[in-house]
Amino acid sequence: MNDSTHQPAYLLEPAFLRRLEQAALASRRALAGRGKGERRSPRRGTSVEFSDFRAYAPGDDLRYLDWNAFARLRRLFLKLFVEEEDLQVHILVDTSGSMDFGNPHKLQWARQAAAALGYLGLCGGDRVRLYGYADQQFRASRVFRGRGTAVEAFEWLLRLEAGGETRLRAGVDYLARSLTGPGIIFLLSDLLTPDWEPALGRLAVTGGEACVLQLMAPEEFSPGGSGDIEMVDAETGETREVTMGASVVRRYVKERDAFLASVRNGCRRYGFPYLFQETSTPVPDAILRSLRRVGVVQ
Amino acid sequence: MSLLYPLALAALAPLSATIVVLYLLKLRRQRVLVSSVFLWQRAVDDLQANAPFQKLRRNLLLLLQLLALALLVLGLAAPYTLVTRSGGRSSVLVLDASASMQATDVAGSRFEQARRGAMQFVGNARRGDETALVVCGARAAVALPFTTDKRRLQAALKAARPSDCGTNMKDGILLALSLAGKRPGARVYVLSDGAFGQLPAVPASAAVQFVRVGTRSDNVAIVGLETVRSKVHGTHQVFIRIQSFSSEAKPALLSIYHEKDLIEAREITLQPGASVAETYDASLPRPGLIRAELEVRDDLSVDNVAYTFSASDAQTRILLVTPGNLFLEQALLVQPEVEVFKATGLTSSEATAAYEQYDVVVFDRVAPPVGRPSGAMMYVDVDPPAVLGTAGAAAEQPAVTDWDKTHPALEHVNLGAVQIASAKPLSPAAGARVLAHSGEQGIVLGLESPELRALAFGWDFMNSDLPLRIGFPVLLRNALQWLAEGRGGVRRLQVRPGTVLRLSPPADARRATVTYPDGSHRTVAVTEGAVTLADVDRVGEYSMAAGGREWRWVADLRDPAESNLRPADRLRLGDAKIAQASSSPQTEQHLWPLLALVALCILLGEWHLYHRRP
Repeated sequence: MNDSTHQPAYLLEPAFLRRLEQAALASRRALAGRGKGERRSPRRGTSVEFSDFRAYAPGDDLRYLDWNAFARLRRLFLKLFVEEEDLQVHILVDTSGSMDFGNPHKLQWARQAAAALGYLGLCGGDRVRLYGYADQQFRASRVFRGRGTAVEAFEWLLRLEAGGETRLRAGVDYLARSLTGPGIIFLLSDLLTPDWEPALGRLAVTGGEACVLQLMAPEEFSPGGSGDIEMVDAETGETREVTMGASVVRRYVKERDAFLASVRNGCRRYGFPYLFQETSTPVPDAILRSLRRVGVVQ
Repeated sequence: MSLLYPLALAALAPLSATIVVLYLLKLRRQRVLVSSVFLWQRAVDDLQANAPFQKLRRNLLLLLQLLALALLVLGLAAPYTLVTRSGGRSSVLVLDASASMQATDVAGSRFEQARRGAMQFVGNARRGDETALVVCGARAAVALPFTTDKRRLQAALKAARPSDCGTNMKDGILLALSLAGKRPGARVYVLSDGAFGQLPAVPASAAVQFVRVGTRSDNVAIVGLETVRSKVHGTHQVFIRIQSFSSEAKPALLSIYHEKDLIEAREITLQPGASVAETYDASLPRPGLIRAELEVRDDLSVDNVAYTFSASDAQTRILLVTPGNLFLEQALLVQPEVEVFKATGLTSSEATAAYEQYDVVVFDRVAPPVGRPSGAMMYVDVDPPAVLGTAGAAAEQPAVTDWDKTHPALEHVNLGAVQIASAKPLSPAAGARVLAHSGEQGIVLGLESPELRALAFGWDFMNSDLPLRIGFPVLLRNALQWLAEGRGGVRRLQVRPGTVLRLSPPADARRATVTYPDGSHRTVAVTEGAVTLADVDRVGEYSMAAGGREWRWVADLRDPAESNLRPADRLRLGDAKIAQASSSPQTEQHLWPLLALVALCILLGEWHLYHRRP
């Protein structure tokens, strides 16, 4: 399957974009950012919202001395204000061979979801960085900021192509190393790899807040067919001889449910919001309804 | 179970090898690209836990395929079992009704056993099966042509009786084959003990089955009986040959009767397989019938009796009046039961006495004395008496153009090829008739009247090649018999049962009364001057009276082939084809449809099993 056939002229519908503008990414805790933004930062800053007092130490900015307190108490106190900062949003898209599959196409669905999340971030004044990983290739976009860069971000997403083996652990590792500060990390992947668990563990120690969005094509979710077939892994070329039939499908469904449950439990253990979506679910529904339900979007 | 084409089994090995090779190669699976085998791996690995069962199931499929193949190949080898039932649509039963079938070594008799087998065969016949019945004694006859009517068949079988005759199985087989030839696939079943001679070769395609009856040979038979009259002493010597076909020593009582009187009784013991000759010197008070009887405990009684007429009684006395004719004298001397007397000439008075004294008087180139002849006369190259006809002037090299082939004197004789140097044409008198023509002229005359039977030949036998021909003794025998019959008195004959007798009563007789061995009488019509008797098929004494004359004849078996009761193991048809013996009329029940059905069921099961696989 060539993913170019799944590229629409534009990644997201204008109507969906307008609805996204009314929503925002919700961070469950305050995260340190870089520039001035619209989000509360753990740092004390220069906003109008008072936060605390502390004793003056030499070298402090004299502009923040509370002269009223000095007049009353004859001691020097420094006024501390809440810093309002921007948020770093990292969106990691799995571009391995297994994503080049399904109807609706998994990679295309991931592109659209990444675009929607990125747009949410851009609209909120956050800095957004996009990543694509597969095999040994790890691609990162520049940092986008401001609504005006959305088109460029979308174009970057459209240039992503699927292929290669899933190396989730390596991908997360690479991402963690390129982080300059905490932020929200979105992971869009089918997680069909044995190293999904170490990857989640690595994600947990990046210091940021992670959200896992797991996809599956309808054909993967409920396979059908019968007869003697030889399955070929799209990534590794590994083969498996299977005689399709009701009992094999039953066994597969059991395995699938167990797998999804273990991923969900893993995310819960690390405190990640987790969302499983079939690609048959429209992207707007997934972003505006399902992600809102898990508290990622508000 | 036997196989019709056992060679077909050889196909099993290469075909099974092919299946196994194909199975090892397996079918090529369809390749399907999936995003990842990650989950499948675990689902299929789970299946591996059942691997032994899977392997077994796979092997089970292979085993089922091989089993189906084996059944089909076995079906190709055409296996069959034998069942007592009509197998084809058409069957011909040949029922041996000869003397040996009266043997009592099996329950009832061999004939009864064969008949029971035939009854069972007919009773088990399926709807639409047709059967013909040939009963074969001295003559083979179709008792019932092809019919599907079981009741008619059973009635015909019930009506069949064993005779005292030998077996003419050759005719029986040929008759059955000609019947079977009209029905494709028809089978011939020979129900017999196999006591008969060489059989004709039959086409290889003919399906002949030999159904044997009889178990043993425990029999003693009189196979020879002759009387010789000593010309010196005038006494009779009776020769009796007795043969044992038994495997154990047999004591027997031999009795010899002259007419109704016992003249000798002897105890004898027959060693197994021995043949003994007994002689008895008898001074018989008068000519008559000699009967030898054997009292012995054996399986067949019909061959324990034999008859013969005392030697002198059967002699025909012939007076040959000739200047010398070597050929004629020799030909007369070799005739059986003939006593020849010779004279060179006869006076009238001598002739009158001779006419009374001799049965036949032959004038060969010696003119008969003047006077009316009586009795039986034969004239060769002399002017016949006026009552017979007149001779004309001699003609050179006449050819016999036509002759009466039905006349008893000329039966079986070909006069057409006879070369004659010269002959006197003969013109018949009133009452006489021309028996052979040369052109318009007569060359042989015959006369039959109450007082005289006469034959006249218009040429000298020495002046022709007739004496050198094979027909000459036949002609003389016919002529003498016919002439002697005219003499009246009791004619005596000795025949084999089953012989067709043709007797010539006097010309004025219209009816004849025949008396059979069991004392019954039958009146038969005389047609064309003869009585034909085809029912002389019992051993014993017969007689016939017609027109004031009497015939007396006896029939006995004296057939070692019939008396030897050892049942044959096989039927040799010509040199090539051999039919093995079986105990009942059986047909091959082919099993291939059953095998094909089972193979189909197995294949269906295999298909079902294959599709139930996970």
